[in-house]
Amino acid sequence: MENTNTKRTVLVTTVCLLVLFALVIALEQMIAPTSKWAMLLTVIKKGSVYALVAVSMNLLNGFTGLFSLGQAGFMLLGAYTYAIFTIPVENRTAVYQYFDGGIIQFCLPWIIALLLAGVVAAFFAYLIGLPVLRLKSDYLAIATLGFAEIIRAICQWDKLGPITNGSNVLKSYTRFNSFKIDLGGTTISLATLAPVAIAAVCILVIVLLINSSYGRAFKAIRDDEIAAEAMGINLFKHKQLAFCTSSFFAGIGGAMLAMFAGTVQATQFKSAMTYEFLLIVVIGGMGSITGSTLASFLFIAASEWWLRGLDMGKFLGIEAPDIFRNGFRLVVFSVIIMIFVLFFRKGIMGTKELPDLFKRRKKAEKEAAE
Amino acid sequence: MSTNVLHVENVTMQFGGVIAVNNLSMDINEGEIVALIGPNGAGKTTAFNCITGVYQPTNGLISFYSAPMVRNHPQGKMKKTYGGKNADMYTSEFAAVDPEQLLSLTEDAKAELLAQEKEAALARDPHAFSSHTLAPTPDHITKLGVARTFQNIRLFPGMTVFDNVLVAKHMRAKHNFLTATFRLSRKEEQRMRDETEVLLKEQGLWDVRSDLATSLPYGQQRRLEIARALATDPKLLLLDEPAAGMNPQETLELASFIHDIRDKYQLTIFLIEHHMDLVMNISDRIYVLDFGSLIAEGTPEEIQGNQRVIDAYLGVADDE
Repeated sequence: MENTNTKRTVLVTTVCLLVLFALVIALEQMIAPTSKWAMLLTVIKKGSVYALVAVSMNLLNGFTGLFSLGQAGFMLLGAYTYAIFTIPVENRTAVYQYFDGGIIQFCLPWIIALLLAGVVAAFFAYLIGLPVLRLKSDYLAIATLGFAEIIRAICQWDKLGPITNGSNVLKSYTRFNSFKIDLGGTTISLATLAPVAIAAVCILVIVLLINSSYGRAFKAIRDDEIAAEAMGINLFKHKQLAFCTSSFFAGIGGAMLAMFAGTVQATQFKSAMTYEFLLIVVIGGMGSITGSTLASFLFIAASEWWLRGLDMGKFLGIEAPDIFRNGFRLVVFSVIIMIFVLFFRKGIMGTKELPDLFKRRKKAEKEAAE
Repeated sequence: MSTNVLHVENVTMQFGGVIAVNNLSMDINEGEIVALIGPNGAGKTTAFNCITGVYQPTNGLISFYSAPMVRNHPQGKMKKTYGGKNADMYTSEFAAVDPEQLLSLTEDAKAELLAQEKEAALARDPHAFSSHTLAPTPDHITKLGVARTFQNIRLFPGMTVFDNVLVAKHMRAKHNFLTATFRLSRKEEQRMRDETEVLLKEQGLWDVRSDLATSLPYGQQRRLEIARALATDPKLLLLDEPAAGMNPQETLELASFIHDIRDKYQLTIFLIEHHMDLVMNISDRIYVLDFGSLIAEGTPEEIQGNQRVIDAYLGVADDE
């Protein structure tokens, strides 16, 4: 019974993913860059990136119970690693104009650079984890936040300029917009499919991890450290694993953000960015992967699209340039957060996943039938 | 003579000015059910925490199956007596040498006896006279084969009954992070699940397997905690007040249950308990703690007649 069940799950997941990918491609073909729906594509792209990072943060905060705020730092490492290794050699003189073209004079394929981005972030997470993971709750949050800021400061350091380009922008590397295939004359853009596919695969791996024996150990640590230790779970080793895995995917998320934006600069990755992810994780529900994913898309749609008008002087047809001016969007966001914290403390999904809701309904129907 | 499972030697646990456990020494042999009793605050749970690695004792040695497991020699105390000029004092004072006998011996015979004792101590523990410490984390001790339950039940509240037991199998599973994540060790996972199923069926918890652990009634939560401890394949099981909050009927069932699991899993059981009926009923031997110090040890009959134990529990009348 168990076996057929897993086979069915694999089948359902594969079909769902393929349908999703096909939909995304079709959507991209249908929406013209000038139409007012073009924003939807941006939301999907950026939303996928945010979904991956939010899920990776949820792995730490929601599933392992480690309150870490270092996400932006690891994203920065990922973004920089990706950008540095994918700038074509001929463009390097232009990008590194103040540093004689930099010292790295080769270019890696994007997929390798993407993986490398994750590996570099995970490696630094390992080093930071050695001292930091011995701390608990708030102290861990403060320490990781501090390290993220240190990483940002180091990246902007002039002496590292030949590698990181100092505080200048890194650009002209492979971006999502350059993903396309030729089909007998017609080019099909994969600019939206690429982030969706990468994020989907990464989130799938995280889901597999969470449902594995190690995932259970993480949850045990979250629920009760002392009991988990008494059950033979090595706290430090497992926390370190969760921290490195989370940072690996945050690194990949950072690289994806670089691919989305087209430019990388250390100042983008302030701690405010980490709070955005924290917000998403809390709104989606600590301990829910689908919750974090949904919340990411909602957050991006709201901030990039639906609530844009709040900053632009016109919202829902009301023109009030005095009220709706730059920064008002953030006020509204703060109110939304307060409403969530006060009335929906468990977020949209709590610790449930989307499929759980269907299961519950089926179960209820079955019971009703009996 | 049966094998020694747990050997506790001069264990002291000091928190600032409070000595929670004072120079505790005890031995537990294979297959025994041994109880540790004492009034509230006597240091019983602290003793458990020292054995399971939650605390590192300030002083003393704990061996498991004759292999040193926890050891500490703090400055000024054991370190001096072990390694310093008073090294011989340690052997004469703490080992099985009668000080009276020592006084009656000639200087040569005394030196010879002490040398023998020292040798014996070294044979038991090669680091006996050094400042070498052993402070394994609790997970390491669990891996050696010491499992425990907690006084105030500590189940994993966000996990189902099944997962609560399954997670205890994680420690001995033969897989690594990658093979587990990418489902390359399905057989191992299946084996863990099968063993969990057997265990839950034995404990009568199979029907509630997909409920959240904390939604169970109290008695079942206690059972689940024991099942979870058994899932770690222990040789020694430490039960911290297993009958707390149970009614007389449940307590009676618990007694036969403890006997059953002892025989079935070939366990040695060490328990803390306040229900005297239960303790007297199931224990082979009893140790009594009061204010951190051992005040009595012996069979249930001996303990019941021991005046110091009665005084400790009921208090001594003022002779005015």
